[in-house]
Amino acid sequence: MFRFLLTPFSRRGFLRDGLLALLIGGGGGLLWWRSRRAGPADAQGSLRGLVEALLPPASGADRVEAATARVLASVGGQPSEAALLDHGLGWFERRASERFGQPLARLDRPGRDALLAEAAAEPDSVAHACFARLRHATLGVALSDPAVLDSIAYAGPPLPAGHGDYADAPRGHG
Amino acid sequence: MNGPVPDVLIIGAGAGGCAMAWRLAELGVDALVLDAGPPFATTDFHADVADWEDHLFPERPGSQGRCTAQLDRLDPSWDGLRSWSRNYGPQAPGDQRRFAAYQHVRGLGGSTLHFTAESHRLHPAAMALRSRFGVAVDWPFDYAALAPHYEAAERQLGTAGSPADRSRPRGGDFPLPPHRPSYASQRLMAATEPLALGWVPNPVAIPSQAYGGRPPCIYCGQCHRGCQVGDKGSFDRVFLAPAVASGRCSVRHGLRVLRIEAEGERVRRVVCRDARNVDVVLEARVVVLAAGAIESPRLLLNSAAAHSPEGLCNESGQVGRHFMETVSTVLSGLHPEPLGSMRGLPADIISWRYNAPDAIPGLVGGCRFTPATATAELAGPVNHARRMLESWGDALIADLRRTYGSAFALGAIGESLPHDKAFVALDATERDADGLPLARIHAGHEASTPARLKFMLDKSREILAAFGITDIREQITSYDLFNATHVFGTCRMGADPARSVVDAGGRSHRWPNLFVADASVFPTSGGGEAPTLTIAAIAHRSAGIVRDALARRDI
Repeated sequence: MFRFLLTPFSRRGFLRDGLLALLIGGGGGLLWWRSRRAGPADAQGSLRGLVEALLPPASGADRVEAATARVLASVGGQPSEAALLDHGLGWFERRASERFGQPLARLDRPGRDALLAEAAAEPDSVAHACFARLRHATLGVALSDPAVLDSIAYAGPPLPAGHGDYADAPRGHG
Repeated sequence: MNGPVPDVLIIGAGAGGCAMAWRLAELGVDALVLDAGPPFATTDFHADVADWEDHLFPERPGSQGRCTAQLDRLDPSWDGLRSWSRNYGPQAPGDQRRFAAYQHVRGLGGSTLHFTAESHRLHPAAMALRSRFGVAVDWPFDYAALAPHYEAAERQLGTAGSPADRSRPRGGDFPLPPHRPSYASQRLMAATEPLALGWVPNPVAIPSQAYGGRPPCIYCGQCHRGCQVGDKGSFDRVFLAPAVASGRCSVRHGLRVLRIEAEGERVRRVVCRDARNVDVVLEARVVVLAAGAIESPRLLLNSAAAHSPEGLCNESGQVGRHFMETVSTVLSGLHPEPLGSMRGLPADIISWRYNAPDAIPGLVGGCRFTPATATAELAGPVNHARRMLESWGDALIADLRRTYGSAFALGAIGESLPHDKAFVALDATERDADGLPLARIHAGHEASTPARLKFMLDKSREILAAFGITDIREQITSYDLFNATHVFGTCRMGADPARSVVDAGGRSHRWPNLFVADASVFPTSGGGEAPTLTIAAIAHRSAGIVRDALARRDI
């Protein structure tokens, strides 16, 4: 039997993240994170902007807030993760300035997409590691949206129905 | 002393302890089963909630033991064996093997609560590695001696398997007909026919039809999260419950065993601590240790006393030696066509083609292959998106629509040969809440292991390519990650008291009323077979020896 390791967040990390998200909430988490981050940039706006770009465009503001809170919860209490987020956002800020002459928080969606694509294309870099963590946390929220799940023909959790048709060719894609 | 003295006191309610209790009850012997962990109920498991992917097998107070590990530095010449993910990068950066987890459950049913119910008999030749192949050791009995006990355990478990499966000598058919392979597995079997892998339905303790009060499986694929339906053959349900119902067996959970005490020529009592931290002393005529290959040697070593300064049963220095782990690989990718791969049993078909000890060219010790999509956590949309796709935003949704259900993982598990650098000892500094030293796993790779892993990876790539998957997105191996589910060998059984801890019946060479009945007694691991059925068969066999000894009053 095989047991898979989810990285970068451990299994216990998922439990801890959930609890922290409940405890500190999005706003409290942002304040905590901003309080420990040096620099003039609007860190809250930058992070929210990247999260928004990672979510499907139809996602509502509540999902952007939820995903941002999840990112913050995932770094809470872990100095190395917080440092990675700091450095990663610093990279995005610098690249926004170099490419577009604007702070990250003021970039439009195509601009943010372009920076995310740059980060995704730089394996073994801080930018890529930060991108991976943001994407990881954000997807959990994006794919909790019933409208999104309906659009991919997801049949729902494995139970209670099970998969009585398991031996047949799938209907639809899945 | 606390309570009446049972005939047999069993430490550990995992596979060995539960099977032992059940067989003793059948034989009319009273037993008390102790476990440090809690009971679990089907309502503890959550594959029915919206965020089910975040609900792995639950942890409850006391359900996880702690241990430490001393692992190998890695050899750069084997870097091709290392674990990586397209999206998350190296899984064990640096030059040191990483300790991820010892995957286990403390509680009634033990790790069978989260097993995928594979119900495997060992390859007969894998029990004779020394005499037939010149490596490791032989088991002190052969396959034929274990066969009737395998049959008894399979009957109780309701093992479903195919009459066409001729991989092991059998006296008759499996108790239940096989499950139909999933659509994804049917496609795999057809596509890889030229490779002559001999796929057969994997024998599993999951009923293909109602059996022994259990309903048939509904193929949710989430056995490893804990079975909510109640069909899977976890040992609390299949062995312990009927033992208790017989009136011959009682159970105390949440009781941590601190040490086993001996006097004269006998083990006399077991000292425990309950959830309120009150010490409890229990006596028994016979003690059966069944706490698994990490905790069983730890308890013996922690039971050192004036008569046994190096630990109980450790006169030969063999307790904790010969540790064997799970040698495994998993490769994952996307099939170009819809498979509906989230459906069906987690490992529904198996190839034994390379399982015999001499089946891998140039090596002694085999392996086996199975689908592993569900246990690789690729059945749900979130993990699929995180690990199989690279997009985000709207592109991600389009990619998911196109690919969800096409993820496929192939797993392989191979022989883990015993050697001097792999053992379990007491940690010199780390202690548990009771102040007792933790177990420390020393797990160096045996000389042939990297080559075996390379074979497993190369063959997996060949199989996946034939299936249509050439773009591998994750490679996870035990080369650089210790993530063992199957552990063995730290209280080896054998005929020679100088080179083993217990005899062929599981009885201590030194203490005639102390038995061990778990995977710690395995002299060798087999070529990737899941050990659970063999643990049950060994316990079943030893129970008869316990009963006979009690009847003869030579205990």
